[in-house]
Amino acid sequence: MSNPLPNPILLEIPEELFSERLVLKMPRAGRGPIIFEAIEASLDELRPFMSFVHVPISAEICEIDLRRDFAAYILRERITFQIFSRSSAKSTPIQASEQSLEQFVGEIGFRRLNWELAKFEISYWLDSRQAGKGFMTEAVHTITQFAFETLKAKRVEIRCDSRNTRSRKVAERSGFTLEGILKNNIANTNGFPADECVYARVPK
Amino acid sequence: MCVRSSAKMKNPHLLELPSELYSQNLVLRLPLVAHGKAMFDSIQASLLELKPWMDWAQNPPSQAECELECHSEIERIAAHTAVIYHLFSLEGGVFVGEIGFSVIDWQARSFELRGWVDSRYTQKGLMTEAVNSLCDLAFETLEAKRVFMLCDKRNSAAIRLAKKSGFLLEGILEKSLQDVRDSSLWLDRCVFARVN
Repeated sequence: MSNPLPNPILLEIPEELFSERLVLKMPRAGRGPIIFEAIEASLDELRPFMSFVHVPISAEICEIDLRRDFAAYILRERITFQIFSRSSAKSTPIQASEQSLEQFVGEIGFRRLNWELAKFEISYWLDSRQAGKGFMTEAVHTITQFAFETLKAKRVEIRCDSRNTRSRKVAERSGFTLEGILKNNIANTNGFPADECVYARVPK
Repeated sequence: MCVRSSAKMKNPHLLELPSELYSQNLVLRLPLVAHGKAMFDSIQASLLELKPWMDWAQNPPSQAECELECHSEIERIAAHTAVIYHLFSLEGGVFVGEIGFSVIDWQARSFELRGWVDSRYTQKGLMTEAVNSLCDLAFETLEAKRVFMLCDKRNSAAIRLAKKSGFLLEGILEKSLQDVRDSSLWLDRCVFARVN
């Protein structure tokens, strides 16, 4: 192994990632209520494929999960970003009040991190009211670049139910290759066996 | 209903039906009498497409009759003589049709699939999603060995749906039923099936 990665806890990870229209922000306490509100507005679209909406949720539970995500971010066990769309043109690290300039759009992050192999799996969800604007594709691009450049990723994966056409389109539009479809590898939210698509990108 | 008990198969009375089944664009919900009005509206909007194939569409039910039908569906589900779900699009929460097993042989674990979709919501893959959800339920929860559907061989929409949903054409039953609109004519029916 040529350049072993330092302990990931020491790896500098920016608090914000910018793209043309979005800013991805590391978890920060206080966002629970807007996350909860976005989930509530998107329940029907999330329910077919996201198991986290099938347990009771509230603004408090979202806040608790958010603070857990913050802890996991520090420990580099799970890296979650909240996605905000920016109304202003290019990036300015110093913003006025978060609420006035930015709109919460969804979340994206790495949910399975293998630091030894530099292999990371992306997962994401979108507020239904923000669909159809290409936000998620842009976020996937941003986080994938970040993975290759900062995390020195050798492999970035997206996995989803083979019937989750919307998620598959995001993966495909983001330049990921369908490596295979694993039969009966996951359970869908109805509790039945489902096929899992494995999409991946590797550095050139 | 007499079902010979088997060491391996559960008694149908003990099988639990989920109240909702989600797929990409659709949710299947167990029938409620409150769905009667929406069912009536959907049938009225779809008479042109339903009349060639469905005997019950020749004298379309009134809203009150639709509500009674929902009630009858609930009773049949409770008695395990049928498994029926109502289709709602996730976008807008609109009633878009029905799907179910209206003929069930519990002994053989053989289920006949029937359904219809509101004409304003065709060509969106909704019925394919519904068929997939219901077949998952049949094979995973109801211990189905066989799910089949019968359709008029002229019903190209149904035939396309069957093939898209992974059903195989087993054969054509010639002159097996009277035409729904002209009882002097006999029609040929396709048998499509998926087996476990």
